[in-house]
Amino acid sequence: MLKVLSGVLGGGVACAVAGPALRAAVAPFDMRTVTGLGEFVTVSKLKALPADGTPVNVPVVVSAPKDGWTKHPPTTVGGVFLRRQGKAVRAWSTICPHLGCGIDFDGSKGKFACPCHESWFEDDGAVASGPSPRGMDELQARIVGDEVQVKFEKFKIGTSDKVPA
Amino acid sequence: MLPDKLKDALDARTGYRALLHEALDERIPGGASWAYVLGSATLIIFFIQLGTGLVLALYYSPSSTDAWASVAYIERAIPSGALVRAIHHHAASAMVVMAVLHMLQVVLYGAYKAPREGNWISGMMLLGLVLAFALTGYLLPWDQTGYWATKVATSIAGTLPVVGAQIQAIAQGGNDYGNLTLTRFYALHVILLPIGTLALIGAHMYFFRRHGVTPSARLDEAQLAEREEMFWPKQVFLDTVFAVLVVAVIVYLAVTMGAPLQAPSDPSSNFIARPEWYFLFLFQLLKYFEGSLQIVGTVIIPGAVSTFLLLLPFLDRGRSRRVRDRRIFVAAVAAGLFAIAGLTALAVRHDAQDPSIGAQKRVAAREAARARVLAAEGVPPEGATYMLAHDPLTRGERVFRRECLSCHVLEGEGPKEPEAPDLTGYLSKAWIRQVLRDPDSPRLYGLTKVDGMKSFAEVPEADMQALVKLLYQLRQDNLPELESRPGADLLSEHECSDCHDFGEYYGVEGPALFRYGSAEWLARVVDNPADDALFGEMNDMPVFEDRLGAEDRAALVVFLQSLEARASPQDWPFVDDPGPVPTPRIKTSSTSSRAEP
Repeated sequence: MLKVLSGVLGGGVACAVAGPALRAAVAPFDMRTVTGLGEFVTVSKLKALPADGTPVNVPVVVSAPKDGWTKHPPTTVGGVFLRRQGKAVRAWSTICPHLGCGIDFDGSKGKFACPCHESWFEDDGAVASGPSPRGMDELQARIVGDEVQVKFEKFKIGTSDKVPA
Repeated sequence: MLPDKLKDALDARTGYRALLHEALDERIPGGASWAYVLGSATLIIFFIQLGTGLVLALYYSPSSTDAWASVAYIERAIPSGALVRAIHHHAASAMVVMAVLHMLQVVLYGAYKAPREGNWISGMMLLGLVLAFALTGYLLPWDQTGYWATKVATSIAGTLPVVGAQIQAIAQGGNDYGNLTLTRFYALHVILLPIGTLALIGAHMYFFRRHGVTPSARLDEAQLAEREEMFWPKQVFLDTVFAVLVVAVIVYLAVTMGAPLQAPSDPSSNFIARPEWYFLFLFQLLKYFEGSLQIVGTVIIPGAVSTFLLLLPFLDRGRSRRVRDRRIFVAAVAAGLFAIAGLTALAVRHDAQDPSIGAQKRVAAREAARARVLAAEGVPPEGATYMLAHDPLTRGERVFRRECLSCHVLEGEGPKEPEAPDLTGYLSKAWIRQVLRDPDSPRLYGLTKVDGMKSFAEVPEADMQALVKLLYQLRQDNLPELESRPGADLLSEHECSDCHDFGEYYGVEGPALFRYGSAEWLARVVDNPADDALFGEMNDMPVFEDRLGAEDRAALVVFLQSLEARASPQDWPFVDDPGPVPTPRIKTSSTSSRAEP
C-alpha cells in the first residue's frame, strides 16, 4: 500500500514539474523564432540588371527581421541572383541546395558554380554536374514600377525536393 | 510488474537487486520519522532546479544587451516558459528554507556530533553553495533588482582589506558590471556550482550511509532496537508525502505569483537595491555599522557565525545528544535564528513604512510593465536598457521627475510647497474644468505669477460642459473651423477670446490657446513658456529649450500627453461635480500620511 502510494504521489509530483518543463523545452517545434523572411522585398532597380540576361548577385535587405527577442535594424539576410529576361526577371537563391554553401556565377563558362563541393548549375538553375540533389532554388520575383522585388525564402538543404525550411 | 524470469535476467546483467538493496534496505533505529524528511526534500528541490534550470538555459543569453530580453522572451513567448521560470524562482526560496530546516533538525537531534563531523561539514558547505546559487542566479535576468542587489554584494567584497579589489575584480569579471559579469555568473551558476553541489551531495550521502540516521536522544537502546524499521517502504513514503507537499506549495506559488522581472538594469538610475528575502537580514545588518566599522557587519559577524557553525562538532564535544546537556549550543543557534528573524522583520518594516520607497516601487513597476510591452515588439540590438531609455514615454517620465517635480505636483508626489500647477490628470476634461472653475486655486495657478483669469464657477452647467469639451477638442486634428463648432460662441460670450487667441500662436493677455493641448502646443510650452504667445512676463517656469536636449523635450511632451489617461478619479474628485469650488488640497491622500507622522 505504502509502496504504491509512494509511487503514485512521487509520479504525480514529477509530472507537475516535468510537464511544463518539457513543454517549454520543445516549444520551438511550432514557433517562428526567426522572422522577416518570406515577404516581397525590393532588391534592385530594373535598369541595374544587364539587358543580355547575365545573372547579377544582389543582397536581400529585410527591413525589421526578428531573431528570438531581438528586432534588428534593416539587415542583409542573404543574396539572390537576378536575371533579366525581356520584360520579366527571374531570381534564384545563392544558397546551394547541396549543403548550403554560397553559389557564384562563372561568367566564362556561363554557369553557376558552388565552389565547396563542385556543384555546377546551368544558367537557368538546373543541375549541370556535381553532387547537388536538385537545381538552384528559384524565388518568386516581380516588377513593381522600376523596381525588382523578390520573395526571399529558405529551403531545406540536401533533399531532392524543394520544401520550405 | 515484470515476470520473475525477466527480473532474474535483468539482475544477472545489471545487478539491480543489490543496488536497490543497498539503496532501500537501510536500517533506521527507532523507526521511520517525519524528522528525517527534510534532507530528501532539499535533494528533490535540487533536482527540480537542475531540470527547470536546464530548460531556462535553452533560452537564456548571458550578455548585457540580451539577458533581460531573453528572460522577457521566456516569460512572453515560450509556452510554459513563465511557469518554468516561476518554479525555478520559488524552488530557490524553498531550497534555502529546506536546507536551513534540515540544519536545525540536525542541531536539535545533536546529529552533528562525532563521528558525524563529515556529515555536518559537507552539509554546511552545501548550505553555502545553496546561497551561492541564489546570489548568482539573482543577477542573471539583469533587471534592476538583480543588478543593484548583486552590486552591493560584490562591492562588499571590494571593501575587504588587502585583497578586496582583486577579489571584486575576479568576482565581477573586471572593473565594472557588464558582459563579463554575466558570463562569469552564468558559468558559476550553471557549471561550477552544480558540479560542486553534486560532488558534495555524494560526500554527504556517503557519510550519511556510513553513520546512519541519528535517532532521537529520548529513545533508549531497547526502544531503538524494538522500533527499528527499514528505509523502504515507510520512510520512503514519509519522504514522498513531504516532498509532494513542498512541491505543491512551490507550484502553487509559481502559478499564482509567477516570477518577478523588473525593468532592464539601468546603471544611471537610483533604484533601491533589495536582496531576496532570505538575504534581507544581512542587508539590515549593514545599516548598523558606519565608516571603518563597516567590515564588522559585512564580514566579521557573518564570518564568525559561519565559523561557529562549521566548527560546531568540535566545540560541542560532550557525548550526550540530549538538548539539556548542551543547552549553550542549542541556545546559541536559536539566538542566531531569532536575530535573523528580527533583522528580517526590521528590514521589511522599514521599507513598508517609508513612503518614498513606495513611490519608487510604483515607478519601477510602471517601467517594468512598459519594458515588457516594448519587448513584445522585439528588443533592438543595442539592448533592453537602451530600448527603455529611448522610449519617449519612459524617458519623458524620467525627465519629468528630474526637472519638473521640484515645482509641480504629480499624483501626490512633488514639493512640500508647490510653486506650479498640480499636473495630475493634466489636460483631461476634469483638469480643464477645474482650471475654469478655480484658476487661482493653490493647486493650479494660485501660487504662480499667472493671474488675471476669472472663475467660471457660476457659469450654467450646460455652458461649462460645452466649454470644457470645446477646449478639450482644440488639440484634435481635422476638426471643422472653430466658428462652426458647437459652443464656439461661448468663447466670446464668456469673454475667453478677450484674453486668449484661438486662431494662431499669438499672445493677447493670456497664453494663446490655438491647438491647446496638442503635441505642438505642449512642445511650445516646454521649449519656451516665456514666449510672448504663451505666458510671457507672467512665466516662472524654466525655458527648457536652454536646459534639455531635443530628445528629452520631445519625450516630455509625450509624457505630458499621457497624464490624462493615467489620472484616477480620486485625484480630481470634482469631475463633472457642479457643487462649490473644492477646498484646495496640496497633497493627495498618499502623501498626507507622510506629512503628519
